[in-house]
Amino acid sequence: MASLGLYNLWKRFGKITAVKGLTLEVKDKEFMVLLGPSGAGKTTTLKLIAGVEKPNDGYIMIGDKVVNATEPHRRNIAMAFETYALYPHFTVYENLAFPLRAPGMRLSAEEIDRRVRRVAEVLNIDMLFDRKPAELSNGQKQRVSLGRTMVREPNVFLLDEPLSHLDAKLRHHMRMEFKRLESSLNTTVVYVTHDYLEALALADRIAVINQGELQQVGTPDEIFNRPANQFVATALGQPEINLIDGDIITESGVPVFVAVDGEFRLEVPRALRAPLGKKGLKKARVGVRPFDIRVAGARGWGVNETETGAGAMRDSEEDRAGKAFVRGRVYVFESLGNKGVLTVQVGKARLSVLTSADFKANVDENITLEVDCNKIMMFDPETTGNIALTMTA
Amino acid sequence: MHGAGRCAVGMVDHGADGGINMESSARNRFIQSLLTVIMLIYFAFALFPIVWMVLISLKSQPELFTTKFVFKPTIESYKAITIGLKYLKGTGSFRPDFPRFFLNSIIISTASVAISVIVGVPAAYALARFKFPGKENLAFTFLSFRFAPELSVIIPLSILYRRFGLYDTYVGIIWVYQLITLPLLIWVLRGYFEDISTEIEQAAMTDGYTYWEVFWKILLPLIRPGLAASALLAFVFAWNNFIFAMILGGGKVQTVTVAALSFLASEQAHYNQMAAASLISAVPQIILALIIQKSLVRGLTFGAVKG
Repeated sequence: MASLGLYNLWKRFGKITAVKGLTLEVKDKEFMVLLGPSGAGKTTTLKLIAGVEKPNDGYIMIGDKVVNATEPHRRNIAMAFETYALYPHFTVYENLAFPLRAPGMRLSAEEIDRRVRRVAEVLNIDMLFDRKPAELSNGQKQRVSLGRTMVREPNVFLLDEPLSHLDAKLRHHMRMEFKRLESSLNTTVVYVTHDYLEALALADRIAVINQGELQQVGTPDEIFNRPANQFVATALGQPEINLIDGDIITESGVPVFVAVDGEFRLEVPRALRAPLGKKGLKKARVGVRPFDIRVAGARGWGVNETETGAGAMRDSEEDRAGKAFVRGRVYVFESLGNKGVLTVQVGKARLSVLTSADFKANVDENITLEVDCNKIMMFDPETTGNIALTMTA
Repeated sequence: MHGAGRCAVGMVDHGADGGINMESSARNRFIQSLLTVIMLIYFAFALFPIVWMVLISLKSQPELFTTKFVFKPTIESYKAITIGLKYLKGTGSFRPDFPRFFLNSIIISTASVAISVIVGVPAAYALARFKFPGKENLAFTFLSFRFAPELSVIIPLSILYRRFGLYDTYVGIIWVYQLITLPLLIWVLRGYFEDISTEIEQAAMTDGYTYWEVFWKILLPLIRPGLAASALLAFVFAWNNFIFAMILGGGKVQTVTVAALSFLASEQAHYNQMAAASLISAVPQIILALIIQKSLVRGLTFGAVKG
């Protein structure tokens, strides 16, 4: 139970720089998720915290102590490795008991047995006690590796992709178990994943990392709804956020975003006008999440296909406020059981739209999409930063 | 009708299957017996020299140069090289040197392997884990000691040994035997260490163990098969070495391989005593090989970590 602080942390492996000036504070008992693609430096960050790799620069603090010079075994940190790192010559039981038999622990044999059995029951691996790691499936190995961290009461838990090798069903089950464990563990956790759903479900706060650099730290809500930049916006959400490049023009004193040869036009929402004006941008990149786009009119929905989509709408003026319309052709439709993903070709761009599963569409059919203007994000095409946030920051 | 037809077809099939099985099992049995015969021939071929040695060692001096298989066996030769010939008429009394040479061999081979293990395990670990300039060159240099012919270095070595007072000392012989034993251990164990994931070590360290405890509790058990096999082979190579012991050792540290020659040196060629000495000196190797027979093959062919 301790807070954790990383200050301007650098780690190089030869010519490759894995961690670039990372500064991150994790509060006591906080569940912090490091989210990023593979090769982002997440695992290296965990190993630096554990002390099994040494930083080239920067400080690591656990509680109120700088631990740069502290040996791993004195840091009281438990880490689950993505490769499991089970001891091949030990049985499952011995693997689980190993941290408890460490010289610094001084536990009675009964206490060790009690703790091993308790953790094994939670993880449902108590029937595997006598097996060697080579006789386990990947999912079982992963649970043993998790169990080995959970038998102790460490200052900080470091979990490296602990659910990645489980099948979908077990993963969902384990995600729930984690959520429950989180409250019972009552410990600081740093959790590495590339799965944004895991991050959103588990985290108190998420730190998004790309190529060794921190992109944004915030609550799941902040990260998802107010991404600091284009990378964070695309890292979360499936299907990915739609990005459209276009120009900013002024029509009767109101900034308007125009893209795809004028096919796609939308009035810049009020909240974005001030920051946009201050930046004086002529070009912008609009991001719209697939569930903020609706199919405005398809067959039998009162659309005259010869007219422009906006003009064809029979919605009242009030309904149309804060909405933008764009015409396109159906590229493909995928039904995913409980929802559907419609991909629409608009000019040179392709937009993903979340629909109901029973949506019907023919390939190459003309279609009009309705975009909720108040939900859009705007990014600076040069810096890829979120225009709304770079203002406030 | 239909049912009967199907039944008949089934029976025919069954019969045909049976025929094939019988035929193929007969062929298998023939191949098996042929293999057995070949193995027996090889067995006789491989064991004959040893059998012949046993026979010679049991012969008395006058029968030595006959090729008789039937004779009156005697253990005089064994007595002569172990207890001595004091009680035999006409030869006078002298204490045989063979037990001392046998002890020399044991001391020198064991110490050589022990030092190689102490030096070689950390060296192999360093070559497997750490990155440093000239690593591969260094590793290859170790290996080159093994395939450089001993005769090519023996003269300069012998000059150096005489000058530095290492000639005919245990330290000197054990030192030069490192050329034989150390490269083998380093190269086998390096492969074993490379097979152990670094993350296993890192996991053990985060589990609360110091570097040394990780080495004793995790690494050493994982390299044990390779260590046992390579140490045994190193022991055998050290035991069998002739040229270093011959040139760099004198009467004080003589080993059995060199001592075996002395049976030919005097007025008579004591082939029977030589055979007895050779047989006795083969005993430690045979015992060791039998003890770790299984891990010998496994240890040199498989890696450390499976699964």
